[in-house]
Amino acid sequence: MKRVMPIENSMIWRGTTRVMRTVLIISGACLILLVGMSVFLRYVLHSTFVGTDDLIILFSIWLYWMGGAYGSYENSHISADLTNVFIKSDKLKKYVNIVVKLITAIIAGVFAYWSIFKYALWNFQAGTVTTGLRIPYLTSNIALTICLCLMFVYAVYHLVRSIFPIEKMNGATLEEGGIE
Amino acid sequence: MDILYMVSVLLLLIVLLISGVPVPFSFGGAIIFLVVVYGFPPAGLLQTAYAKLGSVTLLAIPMFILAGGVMEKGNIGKALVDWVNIFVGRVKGGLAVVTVVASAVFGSICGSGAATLSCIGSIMAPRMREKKYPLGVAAAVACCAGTLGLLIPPSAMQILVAWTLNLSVLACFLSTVVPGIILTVLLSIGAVILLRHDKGVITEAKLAPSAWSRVLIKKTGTAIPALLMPVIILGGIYSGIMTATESAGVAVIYAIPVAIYLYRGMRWRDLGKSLVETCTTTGVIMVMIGFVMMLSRILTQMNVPQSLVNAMLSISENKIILLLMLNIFLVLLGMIMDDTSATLLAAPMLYPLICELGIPPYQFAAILGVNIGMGNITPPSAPFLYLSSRIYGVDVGQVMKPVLFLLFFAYIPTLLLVTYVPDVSLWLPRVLLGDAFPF
Repeated sequence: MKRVMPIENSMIWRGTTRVMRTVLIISGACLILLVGMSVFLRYVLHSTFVGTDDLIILFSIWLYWMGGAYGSYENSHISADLTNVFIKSDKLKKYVNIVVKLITAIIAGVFAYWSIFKYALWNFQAGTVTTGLRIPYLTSNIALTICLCLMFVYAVYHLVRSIFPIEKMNGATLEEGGIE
Repeated sequence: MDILYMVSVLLLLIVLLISGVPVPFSFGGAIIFLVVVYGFPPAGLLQTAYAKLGSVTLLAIPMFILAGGVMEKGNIGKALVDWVNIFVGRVKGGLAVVTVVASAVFGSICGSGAATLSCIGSIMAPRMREKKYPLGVAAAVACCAGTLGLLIPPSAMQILVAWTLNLSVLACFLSTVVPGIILTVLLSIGAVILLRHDKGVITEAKLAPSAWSRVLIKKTGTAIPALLMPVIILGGIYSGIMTATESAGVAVIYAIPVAIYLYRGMRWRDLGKSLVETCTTTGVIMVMIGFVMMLSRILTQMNVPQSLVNAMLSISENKIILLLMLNIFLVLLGMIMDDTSATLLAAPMLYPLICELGIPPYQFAAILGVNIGMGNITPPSAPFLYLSSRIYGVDVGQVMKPVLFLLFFAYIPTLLLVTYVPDVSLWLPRVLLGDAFPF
């Protein structure tokens, strides 16, 4: 029988997570530096750098939404998770978990759809730029579209994995990048 | 028909939250329902999430989370616990008091209650196990003390309140200091009462005054870099040198070398991993804020806050009763929602009622702070309760009874004081801000 490689071992999966981590590190580091620099410029050198706010907003939007997408990848979004408290049967817990993951995927799917066909198209047509550095708003608000789509992908992934756990897949092993 | 739809939305939200759908997607479900029923434009709602999150004030939250994350991984909690232990560690039930006071001190360097609980709890759990403390009580004390991170400034929650209601961040910070201190004292007394008859608890031997002074000097020296953090943050904002966001950024820049070179809890190479972890925590919270803001915009457009005011005023016009109803509403909200979403929903919804009753907004900020903090430990949605049970390795059932005692002994009296004695929240900002604080 042909062995199926788990998606977690594929190059595109690992590449995507690496890109997400890189975006998070760069955005976080740039934000710290920008905020520190603006304090230093204003109170030590008595000068300002026009457009700091534009850059801060650009990096913060990427940090927030990419952090949210990475939270979906890690399945670490905050949830009340009360089913584990009230339901004792493992079988029932598993079914409830699948239903919850399905609902999450459907909601994430609707938002991903809206973010592409309603929001991104609207932004492409608007073509506005920031007042300071004249950076196109598209460079920051495209983060919503990309990250909501990533959230949908990871929601579907977790749904599939709750039905077909990794250990049951033809004995294939998860080499790296897996999270469950 | 509108009321029917609003009740349906509320029920849908509660069902999604309780069933375990992640909070942002639970709000997403409610938003989808309202978009389908009322035809709100999705692009406009997503633009709301984008625009609201693109606020420089709000950037203080991720910065404080980053600073707290670095401090948490940088062994800073141990230095603080050892320092507090010198003062209260040698009384009966002393380690429980150390947990409470160390949480309050850690709360002053970190803006998050969960980070306070996980940092102080994971340091105290093995120590309390070793000294034969009943772990159910130990976990309950840590769980209740974790919320001090939300009250003692800098507090991410108070930044949210200030941002939502357009208030001064510094005044919001100051409004929860006295309630935070009252809660610290009451929780400490409560912890000692809970442990007073426990004969198994081992108390540390008392030191001679000279030996005590030597230990005090040594441990204070170690703790000073950590204790300087609130001075930098609050001093920076108070003196007008920095905004809240800038002071948070400076706190991160200060925390990194302190954690790496002074406390040696992390290395430069760990910084990237730490950055990814804290950025993910930030992202999870900020995306949730984005979703709540979309729902909040819909509710505002539908005039829900004013309808809520009218509904409450139709029940009673007595200020005392209305304040009691407001507290009950907030407690119930805290029981089903996490602190961030509860704050973001409650603040704009209840603000018109607060104005109608003539209550200063900063007192409202403190009422929200104590209530929503309490929501973190009241089931069914009690993230701090579950987290502390996990850290101390005990069943939630064992933690519940002492938590209930501490709720009635410490939280309810603090809440009543904050609600009915305005000076509890307004005195400190009035003293420190003078004419700049007109309440």
